[in-house]
This record gives sequence, structure tokens and C-alpha cells, in this order.
Amino acid sequence: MKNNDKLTNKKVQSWIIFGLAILNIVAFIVLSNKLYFRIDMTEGQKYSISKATKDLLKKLDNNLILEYYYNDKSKEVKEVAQVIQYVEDMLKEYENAGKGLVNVVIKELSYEKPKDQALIAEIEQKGIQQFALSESGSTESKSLLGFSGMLLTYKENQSVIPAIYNDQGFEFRLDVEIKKIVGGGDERLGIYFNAKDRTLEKDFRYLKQVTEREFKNIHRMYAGQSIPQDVTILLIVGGENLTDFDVFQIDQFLMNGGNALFAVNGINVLASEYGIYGIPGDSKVFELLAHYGVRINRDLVGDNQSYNPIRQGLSLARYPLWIKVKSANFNKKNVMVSEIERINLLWSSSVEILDYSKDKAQTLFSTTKGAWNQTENFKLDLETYKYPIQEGKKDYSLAAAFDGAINSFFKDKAVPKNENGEQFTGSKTDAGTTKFVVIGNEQFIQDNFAGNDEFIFLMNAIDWLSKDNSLIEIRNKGKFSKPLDKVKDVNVHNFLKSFIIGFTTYVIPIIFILIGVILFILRNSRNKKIHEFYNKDIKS
Amino acid sequence: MINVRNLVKSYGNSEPAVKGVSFDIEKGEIVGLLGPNGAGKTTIMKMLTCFMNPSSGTIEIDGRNTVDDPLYVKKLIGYLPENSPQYDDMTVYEYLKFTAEIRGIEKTLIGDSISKMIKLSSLEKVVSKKIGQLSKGYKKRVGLASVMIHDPKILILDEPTSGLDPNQIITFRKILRRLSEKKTIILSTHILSEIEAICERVIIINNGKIVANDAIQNLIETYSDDQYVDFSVEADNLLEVELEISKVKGAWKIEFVKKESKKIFKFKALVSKGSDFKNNLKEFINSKGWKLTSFETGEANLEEIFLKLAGEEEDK
Amino acid sequence: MMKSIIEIIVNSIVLFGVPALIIGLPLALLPNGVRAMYKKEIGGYFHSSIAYVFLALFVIVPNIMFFHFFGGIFKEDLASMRRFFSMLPYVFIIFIPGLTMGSWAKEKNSGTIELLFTFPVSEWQILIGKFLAALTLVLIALFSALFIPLLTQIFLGDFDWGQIVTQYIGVIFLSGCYIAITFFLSSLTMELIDSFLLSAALLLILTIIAYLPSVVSFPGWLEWLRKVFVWTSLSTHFSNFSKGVIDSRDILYYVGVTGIFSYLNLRSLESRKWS
Ligand SMILES: Nc1ncnc2c1ncn2[C@@H]1O[C@H](COP(=O)(O)OP(=O)(O)OP(=O)(O)O)[C@@H](O)[C@H]1O
Ligand SMILES: [Mg+2]
Repeated sequence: MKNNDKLTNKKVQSWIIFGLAILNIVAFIVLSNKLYFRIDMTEGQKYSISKATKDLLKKLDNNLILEYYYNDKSKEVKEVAQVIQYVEDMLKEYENAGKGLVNVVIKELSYEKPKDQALIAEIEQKGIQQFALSESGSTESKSLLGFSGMLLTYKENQSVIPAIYNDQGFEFRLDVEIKKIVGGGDERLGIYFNAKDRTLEKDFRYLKQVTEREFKNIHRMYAGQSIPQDVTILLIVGGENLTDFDVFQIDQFLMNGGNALFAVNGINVLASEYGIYGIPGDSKVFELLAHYGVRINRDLVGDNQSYNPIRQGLSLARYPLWIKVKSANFNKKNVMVSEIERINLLWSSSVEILDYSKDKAQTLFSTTKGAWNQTENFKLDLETYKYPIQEGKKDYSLAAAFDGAINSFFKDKAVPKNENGEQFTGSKTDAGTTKFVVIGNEQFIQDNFAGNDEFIFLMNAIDWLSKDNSLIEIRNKGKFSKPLDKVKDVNVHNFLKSFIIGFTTYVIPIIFILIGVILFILRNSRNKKIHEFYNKDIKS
Repeated sequence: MINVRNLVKSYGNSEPAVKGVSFDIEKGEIVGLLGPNGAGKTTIMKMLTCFMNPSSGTIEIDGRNTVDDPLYVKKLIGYLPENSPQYDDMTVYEYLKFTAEIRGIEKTLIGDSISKMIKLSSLEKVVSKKIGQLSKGYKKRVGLASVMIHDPKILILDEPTSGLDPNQIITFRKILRRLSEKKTIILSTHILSEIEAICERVIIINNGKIVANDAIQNLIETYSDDQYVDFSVEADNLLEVELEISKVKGAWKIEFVKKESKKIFKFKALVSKGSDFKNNLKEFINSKGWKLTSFETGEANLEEIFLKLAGEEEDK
Repeated sequence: MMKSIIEIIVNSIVLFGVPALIIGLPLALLPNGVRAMYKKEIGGYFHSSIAYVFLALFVIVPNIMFFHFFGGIFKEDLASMRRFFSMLPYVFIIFIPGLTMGSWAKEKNSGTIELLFTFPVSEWQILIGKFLAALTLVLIALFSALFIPLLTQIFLGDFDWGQIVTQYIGVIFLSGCYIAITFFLSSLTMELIDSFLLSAALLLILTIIAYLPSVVSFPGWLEWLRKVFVWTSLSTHFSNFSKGVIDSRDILYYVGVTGIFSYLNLRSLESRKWS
């Protein structure tokens, strides 16, 4: 009986332990869902959403719905399929980081089904766009419509990313849209456009597009207009036609904590049927910047070691005035440019940081050591540069960033009159703290010269200037696909593929079996030895 | 060394297979567990070796409870299960090596102990054969070798000699006797001669209970006033005789042995000395109209005692 | 070229080192019962033809599936093993029970279980020895698949090795989990075929539960249940690993499931004592 008690006791005990274990497990699950870590082991932290994004998602106080739609045809094109996979993966990361407030909906729509067609039409109404797919690899190129876009909904606000067919910068684009609808992205950009002989609408369309993608509000500034209160960043492209009053306004804007980017040619270049000529720029901005301690020199810089040749007929002509800034010559310590590989600068002037602002300003990028500058006689035809005309002696700084305190250019000076409108009535500020970026070139963001990297630099600079500059680092994130492109010859390529498939699928099993046979033989011979050993014993 | 108290084991809800067994075994004893099929011998052994826990009751081995301290107990024991199960894919040598390793024998000593066991069980001819290919007897010998390899203090052997040839049985007995100086041995068997030959003491079990637990000599003495009787009856119908004859008073058990001729049937009875079985039998046979053709008496041996004890149990 | 070769070497060392540690450490640190058991089991696999049939099939079948049905890495010419690893939870449904069905059922059937549990080692040592042996076999098969990225890297293009390392880490957890589950079921049965069918069925359910059409289209008010299914599923927790992200929750899940089933396994083995 005693024993029976012991047994029942044991049973009760084990039930209690079982119950406790279950409780523990549940507590453990709950806890582990609260306290967890993720380590992204992929190259370039492909699937880590940045701190900026996490901070952005922390601001949510309501459900953010991210609807991602794509069609099956897009998934059949390998580049786009990769992007779709990446977007899906990233959305899961967002869902994860959103702590329950981010709802992700992913829908694959059929290209053919009428029901889905109706849905596509509906979504297209909201702004998602179809795009042409070009199927690479197959000889005949079918023209199909791809479809891969997102709808974002937060409270009553909605926004879209019309087409996603590139993984580069996806996180950034999504964050920008989220910022727009969640609020907080309320900074306003003002643009002074005064490039000589060119217009924003005709020659700088990309600039317009790129900035509009990021800023809901862009204010176009004209001479004599006063800068609206809500503009926080000024983009000054070209310095011609700026009046004294405009310069005064810019100065005061900076004194009061506004930030600005100056892209102004030291030398304006004219190409006509008589040849290419340079004319030194004439703008009040030069004086203003020099006063602050960052001077745009009225020169042209040529780089003998890194330039873009010009195509002349069938051959390439030497043209050191089209500088190609090399990866090594970017200031790796500065987030604006640390990740940029190259920037092309056509007819750029050097930017010089004056001694008294050395500790507030830094160079962003510069030429190689083999550069020279030209300060007069700007006859810039190709023939002039066919052979090196100057020896490169040193490197020239081409862009600079300033961050610190400045004194007003108009301290102890009278407020200029405004010839085109209202006069300044308030009291002027004589000192302040500001950030600005200076580059001695306008062309680098001009439609026919600019590429991806140039705009990334521009937008990074604008981000740096904006109050919330957390997104700089992720703008360029992406480009993860790893193509198998070591071998260019198609036949060799295909042979190697078959070899790898054959080896891994059929040869390895054969190796296993061979190992088996070897082990079998070894075991047998070992057995024989053991047998002999013990039976010799017997005889002796 | 081994103290068993009120051991009960039931499988599921059916009638217990072991019903309150108590016994003690001293160091150095060789004890035989004897009993018919299904008596519970294997069950008791499984509990002794910590393979199973008792439903109630306690087993202490070397002062440790088998339920609370199985690891300690298992270290002391070498257990040869019934039918001597082994890994058929292994060679004899590999199997002995494995058992040596898992029993924690020091690496440097493993080779020696294997050689010793191989010699002891005369396994030389089959060291490199797969166990699956061995004859039943050899398998048993491998089993015996494997349980003795770590030189355990206690050997528990479930039907160790079943399937061995006579030569082997003799060697096996020799081995056991030699071992018995240092070891405590429990073995189970159906074969009485086995017990007579090896064991000092026998525990007879029937239907889950101990019916006798004594030194063999004592058992013989206690029951020496018992004798067996062979007699033959001449009658028409064997079935009728078999049914009726058990009614004769004065015998423990009456068993049919064989047909001597068409109408003469030979029986065997276990009888206490001094009982008037002979007269009772004569009277009974006469009353039935049969004929007693022979009647012989002899000394009882263990076989008879076993039969009697087992019968006692069945009568209840 | 030099750099990539060095990278391959370093990565291979890491990749082969991790499983060697995972299996070697317990073997070195745990008592000799585990070691003896491990040796016996590995011997059992490799002395019979089981290991070779298993290894050969476990290489051929997934590779054929990978290259010919799931696009492999060559259809799109992208250096990624992700599809291969995403496939594994499903491949395991058949292969792991095939390997482990005998783990206990065979011992019970042939009576050798009586030997095992009367050896002076505890049950968990025997369990761990068996577990590591089965894991070793699975990992040998999986690591032979490493030749796909290795050869491809040498000839055709660079892989993201961080991702591959993660995938392999994940697959170690995944196979451990599957092995623990099938071991438990094997301990409940006497016959190999029962063990196999039971294991395969349970694994199938646990693996696809989150993707069943009826589960995917649960109505809104059953959303919580869908979430429970998604959380329970063995394969959903592998998706992070297969894309290259280690999430502590996935590790906990796998370790937890492995632990729970191993615990149940020990209990079911102990139940023989009380039957
Ligand atoms: N695993 C089991 N489940 C249920 N009943 C069992 C089990 N093992 C044994 N039994 C029952 O317990 C009783 C005793 O069996 P046990 O095997 O101990 O007998 P035994 O004395 O060893 O017989 P034998 O001489 O045939 O080996 C038998 O009635 C048997 O049916
Ligand atoms: Mg028995």
C-alpha cells in the first residue's frame, strides 16, 4: 500500500511537472516573441531594415497597410522575379519591425484571368502602373505588361509606389512614401534655378522628377520673390540673374537656420558652331560663399588621370575637362558620398575651403593628384586637349560641405532694395548656424549628362541638409542580384552548367557508393585480421 | 546483496504476473529461478535489472533501490535477456567491443577483456562473423561473453543454457562454478538438472508466487519422505481413466505417462511416505472394474518436488 | 580570383567546421555512453547498405528536383541556393522518417532494447547518441550539396556566402527537429512501416499546415487560428534561414520542438518501466 501511495504520488508529481512545463513553454514563447534578435548574414545586409526605417515604424500609432500587387508574368522574367522576391522578403521584415501595426498584403494577380484584370484596372485607378517587360534570354522579345506596385494606407491617407522593378533603393522609396502618409516628412524644398541659357523644365527634367519623388512640396523661386516661411532647404542651381535682394534673402535664410545646396558654375561653357568657349560666371553668390569661407574659383579643372573621353567619329578623344571622380577620391568619412562610386563633372570649377572655415567645412570629393586648372583663355575645343597641355601637379577639391556658425554677409551693410516686389521689412539677423553644400558645377544634374550616381549624390546632399537625414544610408541599398557571369562564352558556360549538375547529382552518389565499397573492403580485411589473430592463438 | 520485498508487477490491468515475492540473496550465492512457462521469472529478472519498475514492493541491490538508483545498480549487473537478443549486423568482435565501451571499460583494457571473453566462451572461430549468421548456441555464447565482459558482481541470466549443446553446457557450468567464488549469480531455467548441477539454492516460482525457496539439499530432505509411484492400469478408455484417477486420495499429483499397450496405461504419482495411497488406489480401481497391472515406488528427485510444488499451487 | 578562392576556402572551413563542432562537441564532452552509442549507430548505418542508399537518394532526388523542376540556379543564372533550401522541409518529410524509422522500433522488435536499457548508461545518453548519428548522416548528405555553390563559384559566379552559412545553420536546426519528432514516433511503434507512415504523416501535416488552401483562405475571424498554424508550421520558421537571416525566435522554435519531442521520447521510453 505504501508503495501504491508512492506511485500515485509520483504520478501526481509528474502531472504537476507537466503542467508547469506547459506553462513555462507558453511563457517562453510569449517572452521570446518580445525579446528576440535577428542577425542578417547576407552580404550587404540585404534583409536588414535600417534603423531609420525602424524609427519611422515606431512613430506609427495606427495600422499601416502595405498592399503589394504583382502579376504572374512579371514573375516569369528573372530580373523582376528577383525583385518581387526581395520586395516580399522586405515586406515581411517591415511586418516584423512594425510590432503588429504593419499589415502586409501580398497578391499575385493573373495576367489572363478576367477577374484579376478587373482588379488590376481598379488598382491602376489608384496609381499603380503597368510597365513593359522585356524577356531577356529568349531570342524573340515578347511585349508583355508587367505589374509590380504598392498601395500604402494609413488612416485616411493613401499613397502608391507605381512600379517596382528594381531592388535598388526599394527600402528608401517605401520609407519616403510611408513618411509622406504618416506625416513628419513636412520639409519643403525651394529651388532657385538660374542656370545660364537653360531651363528647369527642358534641360533639368530629371532633377524635377527626382526631387518631386521625395518632397510633397516644392517651391519654385523667382528673382525678387521672398522665400516662404515653410521652405527649409534651398537648392540653388546656377547663379546668374540672382539680384542683390535674392542674395540677401538667401543669406538671411541661412542665418535663420535654413540649409542650402549651391551648384554654380565658375565658368559657363558655350558650345556654338565656332567652337567651345568658357565665360567666367558672374554672380553675387560667389562673393556670398567666399564670405562664408567656401570659394568657387573662376577656373576649369582638368584631370590627366581620370576623365571621360569624348567620342569623335569612331575614336575616342582625350578630354581631361570632363572629370570622372574616382571612387578613391570621395570623402569616405562623409555619409553623403561614402558609398558613391563615381561622378562625372563636365567643365567643373574647383571649390576652395578658405583658411578661416577649415574646421567647419570639409571636401566631399576631389580630383586625382594629376590635375591642373586653367584660369584664362577658355578656348575649350577638343583639339586643344589632344595632347596634354599641362602637367598635373596636385588635386583640386570639387565640392565641399559646410556645417557651423557663420556671420551674415550683410552685417554692417544696408539691406538691398528689391526691384521686383515687396521690400524687406523685418529685422535682419547677423549671425547663425547652418549647413550648406557647394559644388562648382551645374551640368552634373543636367538631363543629358547626369546618371544614377549623380542624382544619388544630389539627393544625399539634400537629405543631409534636411532636418531628418536618417535615410541617406539606405538610399542606395539594393542591387543584390548575383549573376553567374564569370564565363562569357555561351558554349563554355553551358558546358560548365551541365558539368556542375552532373557532378553534384550523379557523381557524388557514386562517390558515396565507392566509399561504401572501400569501407566494406576495409571491414572485411579487418575482420580477417581479427580472425587470424584469435585463431593463431589457439594453435600456439 | 539482493533484497526483494513484496514484489508485485502487473502488466496493464490484467492479473499481476508477479504477486508479492520476497527473497534475499547473499554475496557469492548461485541461485536458480525455477518455474513453468509464464511463472514470472523473466518479469522478476527485468525488475532486478532496472529494465522495469515494480508496481509495488522494493528491490535493493547492494543497499540501493533499483527505482531510485538505477545507474548504480546497472553497473553491478550483467544481464543476459531471454533469447539473448543482439545486433545482427555486428560481428562478434564489434559487438563485444561495443558492450565493453558502453559499459565504460577503460580504453586500454578493452582489448584484453575482449580476448579473455573470447577465450572463455570459445568464440575464436566466429570472432569475425556477423551475429546474424551464427547458430543459436553460438549466439548464446556471445551473449554470455558480453555480459561478463565488465566482470560484474552480479550476473542475471535468463535461461542461459537453452539452445546450447551438451559440451557447451558443461563448459558453461564450469565457468559459472569458477565465477561463483566472486560473484552472485541468478539464473532461470526449466531444466532441473541444470539447477541441481550448478545452484546452491533454488527459488521455485509458480504463477507469480514463490512456492519454495531453499537450499537444494534442504529441499530434498524436506520432501524426502515423498516418493513417486509408477503404476499401470488396464482399462478400456484412457480418457475415462485420466479423468477419474485424480479422485484417488493420498497423492499430490497423478500424471499420465504413456500407453504401454492398447489397454494398459502407465501413470506416475507423487506420494507422501506413509500415506495409504496404494490401498486407496486398489480400492478405487476395483470399484471401477479396471485392473492394476504394476506398482513401483522410488525416491523423489527434484523433478518430482518441482511437480508437486507447482501442483500445490494449481490446486488452490 | 585569388580573393574568391581564399573566400571559398575560408567559407568551407566555416561550413564544415560548424557541423563538426555540433556533432563533435557533445561527443567529446558527454559521457562515454553517448560516444559508444554514436559509434554503434554510425557503424550500423555504414555497415549495412542503409547509409549508402539513403545518401545516394538524398543527393539524387533533391538535386533532380532542384535543377529540373524548381529552376535550380541555372534557369535564371543567379547565384543563390535559396530554392534548394526552401525545398528541404518537404524533402525531409520522406527522407528523415526513412532514416529514423528503425531508431527505436527495430530495437523493440528485436528485443535489443532490453540490452540498451540495462547497460549502465542513462536513457538520454542513448537518445543523444542515436540522435547525433542520424544527424550526422543527414548532414553528410546536405553538405555534399555544398559542391553546387563551390563549383559554381569557381567557374561561373560569386555567391553570397553569408546566406549559405545561414542556410546551413538553419538546416542543422531543421533536421534536428525532424529527427527528434520521428524518433519519438518510432519509440511508440514496434514495426518499421508503422513508424515510417506515422512520422511521414505527422511531418507532412506540420510542414504544410500553414499553406493548406483552406487555411490560407480562412475567413477574417479565424485569422488568429491561421496565425497559430503559421507559427506551428515547421517550414515557416525555415524561411528566414533560407533567405539568410537568423532570427532567435526561429532558433528557439526549433530547439524547443526538438527539446519537447526528445523529452516525450524519454518519457515514452521510461513508460516501459511502468507498463
Ligand atoms: N509485456 C508484457 N505484457 C503483458 N503481459 C506480459 C508481458 N510480459 C509477460 N507478461 C505476462 O506475465 C506473465 C509472466 O511472464 P514471464 O515472461 O515473466 O514468464 P516466465 O516465467 O519467464 O516464462 P517462460 O518460462 O516462458 O520464459 C505471463 O503470464 C505473461 O503472459
Ligand atoms: Mg522467461
